[in-house]
Amino acid sequence: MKVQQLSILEIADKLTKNGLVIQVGVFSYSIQTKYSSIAESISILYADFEILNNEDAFIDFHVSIEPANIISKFIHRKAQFLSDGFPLFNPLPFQHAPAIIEWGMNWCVSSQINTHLIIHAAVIEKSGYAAILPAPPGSGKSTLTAALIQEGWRLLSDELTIIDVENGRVAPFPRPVSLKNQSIDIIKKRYPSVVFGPLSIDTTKGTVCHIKPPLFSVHQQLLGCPVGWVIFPKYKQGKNAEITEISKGQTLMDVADNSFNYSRLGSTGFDVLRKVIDGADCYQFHYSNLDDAIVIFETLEPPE
Amino acid sequence: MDVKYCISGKVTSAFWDKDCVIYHHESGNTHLMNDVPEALLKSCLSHIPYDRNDLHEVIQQCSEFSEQDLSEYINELLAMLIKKNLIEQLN
Repeated sequence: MKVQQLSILEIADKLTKNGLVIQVGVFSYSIQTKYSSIAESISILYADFEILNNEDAFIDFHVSIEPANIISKFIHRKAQFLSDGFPLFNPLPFQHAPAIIEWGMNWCVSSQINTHLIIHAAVIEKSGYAAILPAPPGSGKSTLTAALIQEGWRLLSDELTIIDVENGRVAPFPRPVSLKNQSIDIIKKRYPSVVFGPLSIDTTKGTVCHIKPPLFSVHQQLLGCPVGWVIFPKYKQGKNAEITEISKGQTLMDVADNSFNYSRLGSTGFDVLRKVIDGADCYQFHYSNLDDAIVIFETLEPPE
Repeated sequence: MDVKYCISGKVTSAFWDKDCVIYHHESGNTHLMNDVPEALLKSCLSHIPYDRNDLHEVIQQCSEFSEQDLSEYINELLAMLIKKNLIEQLN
């Protein structure tokens, strides 16, 4: 059964009782909360995802959003993310609950998974090859990703590139794409058919809104692929789009710096990253205009 | 007697054009080495003890240096590898 087959009330009912269990890529989450805004958000953003049966599903992460404490519940009205029943972060205004659950779900993978190399990077696929886009916040990574997945690229992940250490292939994790501030309007104007979740205003990151992953990406969420390109994007106002080849050695070091668990994996991390970089073409990419960026990505040839 | 060196512990390396990345298993550190000839670096990371003369012979086969530059280059390379704990002095 898919999320879209349930009404918001039925989703809320599952969330408040035993938890709504959904499969996202190779991981499964059980989500519990009494906040109706999360039921609404899930009904929009996860409409195409499969619901698993609580009784027999193996659940990787048990997550919940709860009032921070009895005082917060009535006065400050703050909400808190819990993993396996433990609060992990400072409470935030309850209006941000839909964003908090997304951030928390990312945290589970980035901090607890060691069967895969986890890189802070968007990743998209075309012609059977993945393009990894590692970049710090403010580089325009998510805006670029949001545009490219409307232009024929498959969304593998907006935030976390997950690489199987056994074979070096990217495991898809097609969660909603997170947009911030001006990026929200840019994508809304450019692609009116994109489905947006609720807005979270005045968060620590500004205004945040997630967009629904394309159906095609969700359908293929168990179909991994090898890495064809590693591209470091950087939005620079007024800059002509330019893609420049960079050295593989420096790329390995920079990707390792952007990884959450490279050090924890020890030599396994090095071996898998070496394999990935070996098979990929590596670039730095500057742009200020999405049209130019799309054209340049269109011209990428699969590695030899 | 010439000072002898050899690799310190176990390393795994990857070579691409003029780049080499070395993973040192004992420390868990990863090091990027730019523009060091592959043959020379492989000699430095040998388990068989070697001295400056051995490196001298290797580098003469793969690069063009004046005699003085060559000695300085080898000294700097050995100092850098020792600092990164990738090699150790044996005597």
